[in-house]
Amino acid sequence: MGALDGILELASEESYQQTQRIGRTHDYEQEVLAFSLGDEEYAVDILRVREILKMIPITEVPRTPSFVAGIVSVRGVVVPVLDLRARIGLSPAPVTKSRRILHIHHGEESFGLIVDAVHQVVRLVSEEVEATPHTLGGIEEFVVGIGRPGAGRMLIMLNVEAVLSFSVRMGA
Amino acid sequence: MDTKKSDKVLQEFLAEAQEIVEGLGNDLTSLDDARASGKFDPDHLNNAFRAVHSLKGLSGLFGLTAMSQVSHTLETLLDSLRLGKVSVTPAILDVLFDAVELFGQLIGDTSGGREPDSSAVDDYLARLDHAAVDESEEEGEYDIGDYDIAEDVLNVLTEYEEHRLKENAREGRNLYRIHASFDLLTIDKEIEDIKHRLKPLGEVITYLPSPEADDPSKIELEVVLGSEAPIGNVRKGLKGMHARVKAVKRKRRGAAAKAESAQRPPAPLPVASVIEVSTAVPAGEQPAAEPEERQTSLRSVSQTVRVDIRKLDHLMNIVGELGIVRSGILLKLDELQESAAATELAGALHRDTRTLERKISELQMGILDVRMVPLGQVFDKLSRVVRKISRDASKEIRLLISGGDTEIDKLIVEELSDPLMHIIRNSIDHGIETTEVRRRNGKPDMGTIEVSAEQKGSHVIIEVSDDGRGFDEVRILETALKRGVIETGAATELSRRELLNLVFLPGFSTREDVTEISGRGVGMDVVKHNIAKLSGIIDVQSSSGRGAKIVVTLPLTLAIIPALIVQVAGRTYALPLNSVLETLAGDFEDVRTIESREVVNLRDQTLALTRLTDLFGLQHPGEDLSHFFVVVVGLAQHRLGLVVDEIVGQQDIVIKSMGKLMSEVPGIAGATELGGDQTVLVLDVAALIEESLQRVVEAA
Repeated sequence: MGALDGILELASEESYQQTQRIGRTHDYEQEVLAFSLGDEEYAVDILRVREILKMIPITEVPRTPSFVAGIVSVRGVVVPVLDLRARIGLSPAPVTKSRRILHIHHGEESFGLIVDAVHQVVRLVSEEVEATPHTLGGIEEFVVGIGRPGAGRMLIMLNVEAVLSFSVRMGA
Repeated sequence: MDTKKSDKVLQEFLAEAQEIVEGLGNDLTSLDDARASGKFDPDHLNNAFRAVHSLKGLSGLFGLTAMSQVSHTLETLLDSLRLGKVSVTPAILDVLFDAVELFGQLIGDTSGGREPDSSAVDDYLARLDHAAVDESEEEGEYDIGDYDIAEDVLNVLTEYEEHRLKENAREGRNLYRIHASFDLLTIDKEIEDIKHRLKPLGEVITYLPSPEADDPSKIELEVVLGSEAPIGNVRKGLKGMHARVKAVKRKRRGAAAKAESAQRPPAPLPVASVIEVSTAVPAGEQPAAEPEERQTSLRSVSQTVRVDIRKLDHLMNIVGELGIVRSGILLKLDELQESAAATELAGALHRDTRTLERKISELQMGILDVRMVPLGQVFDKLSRVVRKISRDASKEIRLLISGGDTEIDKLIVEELSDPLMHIIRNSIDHGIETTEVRRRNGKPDMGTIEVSAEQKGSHVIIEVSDDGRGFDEVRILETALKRGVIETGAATELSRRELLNLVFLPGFSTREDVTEISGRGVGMDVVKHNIAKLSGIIDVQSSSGRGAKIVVTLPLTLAIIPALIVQVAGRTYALPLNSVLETLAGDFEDVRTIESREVVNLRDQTLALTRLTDLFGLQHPGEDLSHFFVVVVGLAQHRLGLVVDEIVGQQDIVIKSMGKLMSEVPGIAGATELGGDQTVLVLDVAALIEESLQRVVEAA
């Protein structure tokens, strides 16, 4: 590539894919926020994400299931925070500096979800979303589908409603 | 209507409609009471007419056909009633009261997006048609020729006013023409004033523009008054006002007409003249609607504003945050004072902060005050309920209400009507005996239920007592044993209070036959749950054969409260100060164990202890403390000692909800922010006391 260095910027696989989409009509398009839990990438509909918070001190609440990390205060409003790993049944992982809290809309209220790292917004068209496979290691109830935006990337798309459907009376 | 905007408008309409229906209910109750005691205030019937008229207009505007139809037909009936064409009989009153129920249901249906029950509506309309029988042919028109009233005056009166004029004449009253002049700038206040003064003297029939207008900067009116009082009294009553009183001459005494009118119930009397196009009903608790004057347009005199309670919550939040900012400033001030150079400035800042503190406090009080509404709002509704239920149960019952002007947070009031209604229903169904049984026991035929409210410190005590048969303790015990709620051995150990409190357990009912909700045993435990949600507690007292009393204790407000900040196992918690009785310092040696419960001796009384570490499953961070503190909390007559590691101090807090899901956590009332970015949990003292009592019963 010597002669072409500095003159041409070769497109990455992904941006090539993006250009392929322009001009084509699809069943639907959605934008998702990609984040990671451990080595795997997950995603949630970007419209459900109010904001991304740094890890602020969480006040624990007794007598709640163990996946309820506690509560935080966001500009004067009290928001319950869940440990997403624990909620979907993954084993705990060491805390890293990249941990964030996704502040998620839930009807008139909101929740926080602790994730290991936040990546970026990805646009997915209908063809790029597959149905949930039957064996996904036990987390199927929390998944709506698998997104493949290209370059071998796999995004496990989270069913937010299922994640937020719990009762505090469930065994801790 | 599915856009958000029209939703909001519909909500406002429903709120207003509800208020109108409430007012209608109150007027009908007053009408009923007046009829029973033989006196008549025509205002009530007239107000009822205007209420239904407003409702008709409003519901028509929103295309709510059912409500509009009912209002329309009801309005016609009420018009006939106030014009004296139909007399007010108990049967008619029943029909009117049922309208209130029906409206309530229709409003509920619309609010919940349901279709109204059309068969119920049709049935009711049929009843209305049947009831509105015009009796006017029997009476004949009264000849007003007795009185020297100019023809042009008579022509200007509306049918209603003319009717009222003739009624006054029929009863042989004196008619007066009062010429009054009002200042253009203060006319509305002055008219209020004159109305106020004339009301005790008699009935204002109409306001007329005065034929003798001298001063252009003033408005001159003539008030036609019907009164039994002599002219001297009328003049005395109007002393100090710019008014001249003239008597309308009579050609002969209407004595015979008076005797005739005494036979049928007097027809309604208005205060102000009625206009066909009514303005919206003024908001707030003002009893009399404003006069819709025919002449110059008058500003609304309504002194109240209807406010969405969420706006108040928002203001509350802001005040709470102001408090936090203030704490932050104080902290920085302290730091500043350490640095010697800025001491003078720091001193000045300190003074300003203290002023800020005072102002924030006042603001807080002011907003809290806005949220307070009188309990009378709930109590008034109860009279209607009692009337209906006692009729259904065929028992004679009177309801005595006192302390209706005791105020409490609006949110609490909203949640109170259902529980109170339940308690009263229980009283009527199970407490008050039938008339025969009462007679046999030497009790007055009529049962009495007393509802009272009183503020005691930062709580409100509501008592509902009856003079019925009291709680059947034997049956309660039987049912409890039968249901397996307590062991046979334990039964004898229960104190009277514990025994009576068994009725609050779910599914409890000692009556074999099911009477609506109270018989099915859904009642008392739901009541207790609802009261607990308001951080209140409920207690039962009973005297066999003599009656029972239910006492509900509620906090004044759930908004900003003073709290005690404590630390347990490295965590910080807030305890509402109004439930804290005292704090003690203790040593482990002072603690004794009675039946596996820890207790201490407090002034010769045993105080049960609860360790939050046990309750919440907290781990102590290693240290073995030999000293601890006990926060003695109490509500009504129950006491509990909470063991904590440290008492940090006192602070005003705003309890914030943790959201719907988290509000189910027992023992936690919510969360709050202390200065310095600390979010701490607020403990629900009532629930903690509950739990501790529950454990006593279980252990027994």
